[in-house]
Amino acid sequence: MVAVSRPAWIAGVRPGAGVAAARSVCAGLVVSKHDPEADARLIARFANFCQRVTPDVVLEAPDVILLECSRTAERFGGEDALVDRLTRGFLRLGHRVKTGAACHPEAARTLARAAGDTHLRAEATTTIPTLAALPLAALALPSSMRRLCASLGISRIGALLDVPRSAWTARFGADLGRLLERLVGDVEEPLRRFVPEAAFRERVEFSSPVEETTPLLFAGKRLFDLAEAELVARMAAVESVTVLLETASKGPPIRLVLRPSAPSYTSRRFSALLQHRLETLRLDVPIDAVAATFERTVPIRMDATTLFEDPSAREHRDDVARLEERLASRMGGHSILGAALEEDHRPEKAFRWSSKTQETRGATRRLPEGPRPLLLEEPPVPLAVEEDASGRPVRVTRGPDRGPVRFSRGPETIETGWWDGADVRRRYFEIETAAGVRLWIYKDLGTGHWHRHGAFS
Amino acid sequence: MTPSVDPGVIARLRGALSRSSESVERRRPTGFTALDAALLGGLPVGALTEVYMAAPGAGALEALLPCLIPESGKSVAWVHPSSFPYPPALARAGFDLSRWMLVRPETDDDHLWALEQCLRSPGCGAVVSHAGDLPDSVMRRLALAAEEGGSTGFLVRPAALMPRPSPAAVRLLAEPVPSFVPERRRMRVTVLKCRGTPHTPQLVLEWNRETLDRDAFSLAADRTGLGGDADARESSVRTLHA
Repeated sequence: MVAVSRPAWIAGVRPGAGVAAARSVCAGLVVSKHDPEADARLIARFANFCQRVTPDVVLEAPDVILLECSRTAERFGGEDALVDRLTRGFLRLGHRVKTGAACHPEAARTLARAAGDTHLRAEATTTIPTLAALPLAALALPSSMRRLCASLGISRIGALLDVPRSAWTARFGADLGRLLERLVGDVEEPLRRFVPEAAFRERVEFSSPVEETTPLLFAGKRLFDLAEAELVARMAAVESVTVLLETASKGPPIRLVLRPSAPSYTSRRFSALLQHRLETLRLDVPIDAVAATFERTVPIRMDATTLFEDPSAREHRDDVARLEERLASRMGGHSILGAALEEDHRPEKAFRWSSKTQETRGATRRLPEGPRPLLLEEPPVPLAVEEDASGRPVRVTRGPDRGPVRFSRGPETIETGWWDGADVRRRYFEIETAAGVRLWIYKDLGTGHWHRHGAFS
Repeated sequence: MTPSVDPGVIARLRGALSRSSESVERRRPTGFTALDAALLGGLPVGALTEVYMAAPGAGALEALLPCLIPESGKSVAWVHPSSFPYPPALARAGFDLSRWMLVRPETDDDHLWALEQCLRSPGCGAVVSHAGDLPDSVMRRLALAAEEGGSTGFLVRPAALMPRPSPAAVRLLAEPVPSFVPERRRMRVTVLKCRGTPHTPQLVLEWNRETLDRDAFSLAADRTGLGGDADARESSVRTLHA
């Protein structure tokens, strides 16, 4: 027995037991074969996933991942918030993790081992007392050592730490002595940073060769689902996927290269591309396996808020990308635009349209200070306005908005743009017409003419 | 100079908006309590809302656009060949510009096609467009697309088209009303139709663009005479069509 479920544990099955012995304690026991390779792949995936909170991830097979978070915790609203998000992220993937945080690796490992459903953390000053209170089981002891301690009546880590440090090796032997030194942080541990593989491959075999394309599509979907989980964990997308349909006759495999219009990571996108390819494929040999290689991974930019978003939000983002693709394919990319704010006082230059595929670089988040209408008129429309002695508009004398101005708000004077020749000198007012319509108008201080520049629609 | 909007105000407003959405059909609360009550919770999700504008500066977009702020990951599409919203004002109203998409079709065919694509996409939380005189069959197709995509279709239409029947779930008439204080705007809204209720009240909305404070009061609790007739007229026309 390598691992047992909670009900099995309650029935008395323990890791380390033989299958026959376990069955004798628990008749209904369901045993599945341990697959160490699958475990290794899974924890590597987890390590990938953890890289979204810090680049410094150390993978310690079979079941420990160390994260150095002190530099990135700030971005997530502190260390506890970071741990909380990570834990919830794992829950969404369907896994529970035990977490512990401390100033050096062995203390963190020990706290995590002792942690139940709650996160355990120790500050620099409280590390030793916190560790001392933990049960001995939290320490990574070889079983011989564990038995020895039990026979000596030692049940808490504190009992070991109470012994003077200089006597550790002499009293407990070199191994436990070194472990304790690491535990209290007396010695530095060499750690190797986890590096994910750049390209990867997934494969499924059919129990009997297939000659239809539908099962191929299903198999592809399974591969793509696995790949999506992997890519999301790596925060990466791929530029191309090579699908190999392996023939039962051991002849050369059929090779399909799928290239999404933009780097993608979603199973849905790859499936759609594969489906498209399979529609035109004439299958004249039976296929017994499908393999897919995901190449040319590119990082996806994500910020702290999108990292742990609800998977449905990611799906929506994908839906939007697909929609943009569809619209652009019929109307051209220039017809689908995004907006970004620009740092410019001229209202007509305070933003920029850009093709959705372009990156909005250098966009500002600063909002203009004065009121701005939801509909801007470009170019501004000449307006006949009567002003009072102080220069405020009092009446619109012509056009559909004709009548007294009920009130005006402002002025906001905008004088800028001398450097690019499109300089403006304008005095803006928000006015309410007799009917209650709100307009944004300005007087050109150069020409003295009034213009309507927008409606507070 | 006007004070800039405190992000906390936007967060509170959004919180209030999401809390008050309790009805059979999913709704996007407008934040105007009396209007939300009249609309059974707000603008319908997965359906069309038509806003007939008596004048472009009446304030209908200013009052109603903020309720179209989409859920996480979704975008808002503005589909129109020439008119477009002013991005700094959108950002002011609380929209994340990176979640806005401006679609500029060059032909009428492309306009309707793009509108339908956007409404049908689950990626669009809301789709805003101006729609002129459209055949009934087209309006039905758009309504269906909105239902499939779960989006809120927000169609701005000229008031002259108002008497025509429409498959839109909600039809509103927006008219300018003079306000008493410059900081607070006012607008009269007539509920011409709201699927699920026979009531067609007339309300005055009042809001402050900068603080996002909003208030609404009824002019008449139920204009059964006027509204009822409009509804009856519409249903009789529909019967003829059927």
